[in-house]
Amino acid sequence: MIAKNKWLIEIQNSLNGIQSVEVNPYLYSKILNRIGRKQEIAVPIKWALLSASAFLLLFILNIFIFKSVNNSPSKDDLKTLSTTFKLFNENNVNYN
Amino acid sequence: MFDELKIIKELKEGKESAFRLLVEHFQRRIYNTCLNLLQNAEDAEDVTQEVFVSIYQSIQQFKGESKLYTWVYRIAITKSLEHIRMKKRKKRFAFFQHLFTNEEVSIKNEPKHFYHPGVQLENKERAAILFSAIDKLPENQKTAFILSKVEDLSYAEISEVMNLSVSSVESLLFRAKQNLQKLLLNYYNKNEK
Repeated sequence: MIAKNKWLIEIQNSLNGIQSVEVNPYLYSKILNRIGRKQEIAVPIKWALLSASAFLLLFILNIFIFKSVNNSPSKDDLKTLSTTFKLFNENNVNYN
Repeated sequence: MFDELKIIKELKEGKESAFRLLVEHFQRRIYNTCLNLLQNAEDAEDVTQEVFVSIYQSIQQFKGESKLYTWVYRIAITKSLEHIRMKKRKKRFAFFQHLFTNEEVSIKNEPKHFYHPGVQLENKERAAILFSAIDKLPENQKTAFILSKVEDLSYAEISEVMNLSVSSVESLLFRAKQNLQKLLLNYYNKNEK
């Protein structure tokens, strides 16, 4: 019991006179470096909004173009046109 | 001379010289607080850097309602505790991954004891046992104990940093000491008998 109490007191007093530890002398440079890296990664809101609206504009343009392609003349229209202007191949030679 | 109001004003204006002064003034205390909480030198340096980056980025939000050192300490404690939680989560995840996939997942073995570089040589082993017991305390008891016994902060200062009343700090410290005693006696019964 006495040994146990003695051990307990020794353990509890083991932090008496503890010294604070020196920091890395390059700590400040490391902090600046980390701040720099974070600023590089962070995209300003203005640019993020600008790129988002550009993306949206491109998307809308794509839809319009896709719709206009679907409204292009059908095969029958092309046939009529080629017959009217005699654009067909008379020799029956395949030029492909 | 560290003029707190002037430093805060210059920091908000984005002056780098003020930031350097702030780092030089607080770095040792912050590093040691992180070291005592995290019990790992590498992690302590990493979190110390993170604390100052956070101060740099959020200085505009500092309204001066508390003292600067209180605010800085709070950030250091929050970041350290977050780091501890994150490490525990990683350990748990690695353990479960190992259970379910049967793959060799390296569960990083932390050293069993933390040998504090600032402890006197003849006390190193005993202090390591004490630090190991401190590490098992609940977060708020651990923080209060370290700020009081290792950092030597007064009860009033701890209450400011932890945003608690002085009586709550006293009760936290009382419970911390009781729990430490239990943990140490368990250790004694297992290892020293």
